[in-house]
Amino acid sequence: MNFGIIYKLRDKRNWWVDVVFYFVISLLVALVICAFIFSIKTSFQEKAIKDFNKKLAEVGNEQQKEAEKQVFTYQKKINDFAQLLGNHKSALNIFSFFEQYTLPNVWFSKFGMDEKQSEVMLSGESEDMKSLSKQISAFEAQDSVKKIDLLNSSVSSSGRVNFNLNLSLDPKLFAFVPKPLTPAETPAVTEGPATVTPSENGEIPAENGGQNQGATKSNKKYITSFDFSLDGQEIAGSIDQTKYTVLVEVPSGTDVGNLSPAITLSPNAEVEPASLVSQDFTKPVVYTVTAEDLSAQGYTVTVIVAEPPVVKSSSSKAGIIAAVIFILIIAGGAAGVWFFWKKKKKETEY
Amino acid sequence: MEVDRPIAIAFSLFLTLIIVIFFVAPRYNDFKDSQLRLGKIEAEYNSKNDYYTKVDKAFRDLQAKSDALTKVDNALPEKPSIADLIYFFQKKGEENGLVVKDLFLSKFSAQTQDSKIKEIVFSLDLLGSYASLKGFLSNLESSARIFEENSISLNLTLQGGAKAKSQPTPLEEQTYTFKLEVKTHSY
Repeated sequence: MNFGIIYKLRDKRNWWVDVVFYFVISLLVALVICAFIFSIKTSFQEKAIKDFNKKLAEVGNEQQKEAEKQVFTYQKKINDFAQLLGNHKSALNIFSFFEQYTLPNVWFSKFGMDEKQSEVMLSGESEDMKSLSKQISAFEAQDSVKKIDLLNSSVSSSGRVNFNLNLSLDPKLFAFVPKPLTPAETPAVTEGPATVTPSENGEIPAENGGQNQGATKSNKKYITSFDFSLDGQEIAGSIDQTKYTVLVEVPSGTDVGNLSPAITLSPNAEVEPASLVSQDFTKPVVYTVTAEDLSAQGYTVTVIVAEPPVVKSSSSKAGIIAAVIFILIIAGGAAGVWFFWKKKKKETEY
Repeated sequence: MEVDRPIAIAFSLFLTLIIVIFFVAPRYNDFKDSQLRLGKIEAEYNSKNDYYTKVDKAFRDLQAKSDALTKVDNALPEKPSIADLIYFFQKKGEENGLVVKDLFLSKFSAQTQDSKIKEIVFSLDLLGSYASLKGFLSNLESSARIFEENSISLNLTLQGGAKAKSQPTPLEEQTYTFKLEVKTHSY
């Protein structure tokens, strides 16, 4: 190794040596300042973290937790109530039906109704066979009557006809449909289990007058799939139908501020925001699914971005290079010190 | 004292490296780490704060609709209140001119395996007119609790039947025996 150049640098004063010297000193000072700034900033951030921790402890106090408990209790209760009301049946409808379509010369003495089977068994008598025939025709003309079986008929001594009929009725005839439920006016909280639905005007119809008779509408309001299409790749969300949450993990580097999910739902259900409409998923987004009977359910959709893959080889390479440079500098420094110490020793010997 | 520049440069570079490795880099890592933790905790605070704001709003909305909630509570009570139900059937039967011949609890169990809602089914044997039955059913349906009739059967009693043999009596005058299975719910 030729150390002659260091002698020359040492013996002969060059201007650029001064420049390098001051640059290195400046660099040293800058680094010290940097270390100081990082320390200060870190301490500020630690303080901010402590403050947020204090604030976090204050959010969700006993009072708020009690309110939360009550909200979820009522949410569950209202959902159960809406479900019961949606499936509610009325026997009075059947009586009204028979009152309306029974001929004046036909009398019933026995009546049996099975709501689950939607069947009615009738026994009675008619003035004559013609009246019975007309009665059966009158029932058959109704859409609500699916099937009529004349089990038997016989003419009595008085000339009247005794008969037994079995009617299969449309289940819709038994049904009451509650007033439409609108999620818009509903107190809706969504973190996991979500969205409550009282009635249209906030009233829950407990009185008969508050219920509308009509066709049974589906109360199914599920998100059955929730997918993102990213660069031709389908990313499917994981749906929890008990907590009403959807979790989607997208690849690292995906811009979650602007994603358009493809959503499939229960038949006849609708969702707001709509499918394929762009949303900002930097925060959890609530999707409200409205069933055909207008009851609603909220799903909280959370999108998480996968951690970037750790490239072990490049980091280990950088470590090796840093170690080699470090060793070279240490070795160079040690060689320089040893060389100048030896030279100084020679000079003192002369 | 004059500083030996080349040696000072070499020493400074060495010192620079030491400072970078042992002081600047760890502090930078600490800084980045605390920045990340701060971001996370800030996001957590914001989301928790948003959540409880929504909870508070929902709670206030619920309080504003307390009348409707009372109806829900009545329709789906926390307790089955069997005694109250029996009294209710007796009272409404009497009011409508029906004689409650027999009344018993035929089922009291959860609606489904996972459900918290319980089904309470009563079997009732009644005696009275058709109009009385309709009045009774109407009372059940307009009640604050949700009642449903699983099955209904009616039979003309012998008296009415005998009359019917010769000339069917008007509906209002006929006496029937009724068998009803009435279902209601509670938690």
